[in-house]
Amino acid sequence: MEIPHTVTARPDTGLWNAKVGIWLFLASEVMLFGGLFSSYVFLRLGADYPWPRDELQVPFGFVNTLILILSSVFVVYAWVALKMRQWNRYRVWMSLVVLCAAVFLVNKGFEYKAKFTHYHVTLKDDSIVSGHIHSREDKSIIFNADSVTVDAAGGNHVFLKWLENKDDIRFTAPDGTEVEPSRAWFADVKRGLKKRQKADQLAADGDDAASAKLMEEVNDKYSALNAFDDSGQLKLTLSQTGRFVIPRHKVLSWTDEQLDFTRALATKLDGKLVSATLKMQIDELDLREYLRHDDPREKAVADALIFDHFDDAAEGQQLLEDFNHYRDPKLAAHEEAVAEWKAKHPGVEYEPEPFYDFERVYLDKLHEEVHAEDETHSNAEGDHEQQAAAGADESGSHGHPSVSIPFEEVEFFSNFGPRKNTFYAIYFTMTGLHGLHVFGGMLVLGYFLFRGRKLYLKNPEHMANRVEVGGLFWHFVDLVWIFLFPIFYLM
Amino acid sequence: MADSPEEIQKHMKAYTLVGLALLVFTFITVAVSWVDFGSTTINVTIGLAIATFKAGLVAAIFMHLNHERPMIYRILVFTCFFAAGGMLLFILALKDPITL
Repeated sequence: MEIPHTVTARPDTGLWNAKVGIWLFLASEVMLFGGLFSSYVFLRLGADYPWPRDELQVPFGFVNTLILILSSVFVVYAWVALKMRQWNRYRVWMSLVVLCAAVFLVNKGFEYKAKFTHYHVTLKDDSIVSGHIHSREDKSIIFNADSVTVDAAGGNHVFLKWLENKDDIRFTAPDGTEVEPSRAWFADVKRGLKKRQKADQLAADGDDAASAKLMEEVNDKYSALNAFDDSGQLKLTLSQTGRFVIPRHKVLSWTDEQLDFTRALATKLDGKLVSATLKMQIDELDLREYLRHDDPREKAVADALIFDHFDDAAEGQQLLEDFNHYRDPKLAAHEEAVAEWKAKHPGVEYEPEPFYDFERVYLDKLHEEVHAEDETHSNAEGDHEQQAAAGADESGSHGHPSVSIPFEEVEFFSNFGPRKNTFYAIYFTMTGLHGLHVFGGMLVLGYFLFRGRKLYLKNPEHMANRVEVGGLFWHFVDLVWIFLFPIFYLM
Repeated sequence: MADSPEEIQKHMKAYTLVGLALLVFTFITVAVSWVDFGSTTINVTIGLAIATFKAGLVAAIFMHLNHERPMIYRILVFTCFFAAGGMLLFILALKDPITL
């Protein structure tokens, strides 16, 4: 059957059908992205913390913008080539479009990866550091367990995921029987528990015979349940010390001898805590939240918790000095400007700015600044030997000191993923959805590129119309990015 | 609608020029983001104005909205109305927040 109006216009709309279809689809896309853009406005205007600016790497976004614009131009060229019936030329332009889409996505992949491997830590006093964590252990709680207590009703086998040496370990119940706390074993325990509860209910209702029969079944089939004590707990002894490396968010609380998993896991470990510290190399220090609650001049930067946790205390001290060295003149200039403003506006109450940007420093920049000053200074003194020694000393850390922060002082910790704050949540939602559109567009245009020859030979105008429709979608994807780029990267 | 091959050939030059303009305006967007115009609001407004202009170029020239059939415009009028309405709902929520 011939599909009507693929090339000729329908009399009532004046258009071939696919064109109306794509515009209706684009209308729904406008509503989709429109909703997200208005969410962005809402989140940004309603944020009660300084909205992150200059956090994304502009070169990534900039290059991607250029790539999408070029691909938009190429897709029109491809369409024109088809209209002119120049198949080879069409193939060249369309190949470039698909290539641009692929480069865009690869670029985006690098950008996302950098965010997912970069970490943010807020301490209990609201001082914030960001940096890199080098291993899973550095962001986990490490516990050597001798026994594990599981719960009949709420427990499950998931805790085994974090047991490093699980292949070498056997679990023994108090009565000496060996138990394998697998998924199937827990499922049996839960089934048995339900049946036992039903038997209890039957006994309470006076149906002793049915209750006894059910209990018999429980004892026969679900004997695993018998090992549990009256409160539904079972303490399993490990044949050798089990080394657990557990993500912080899976742990409810811990002491030196005991660790409780979250309620969803309902499991407890007894043994010895090895480490409950977060180890990272920091590259940014942000004291804005720490200082915002009071007058910053009265709150000492040195009192911020982070300065207690440098692996090398001297390095921490040095950073503190550099930080103050960087901040003091800026604070003084700010105060001067405020005084000037007050003098110019007598009688008007001054509303203090809530955040000073200079209370947040990128350690690379700070290091460069201070290092440059050092160089000038020591060159003036002609003390090259000392300078070389200092250089060698500093090159060890590259201005990225290591810190070890006890987890009990960590208020919040996350990579720069969607859970970090609303900025990253909306950033990943919108750019991720846009990325999916680029991927979808790449598939469709790639199909037209590699599988379009047959239709072109049969009905070239139909093929040109298909490319026009695909192109309209592609321009829309470009159009969305034209807004995404400035609002996330530049504003 | 640019249907005949001759007409389309004529449009090629326009497409190239618009592409160049879009690239240039991308540079301008980045450049003006480095300039402090006094307040974030002014900077954001300028940035969005440039973005809107670029989007306008894409829509008008690449998507052929400068010479389309009335049917398409009718669809778009509805879209703009509802998209603006959606935006307005959020702004109303900001103006009259629920406070506990």
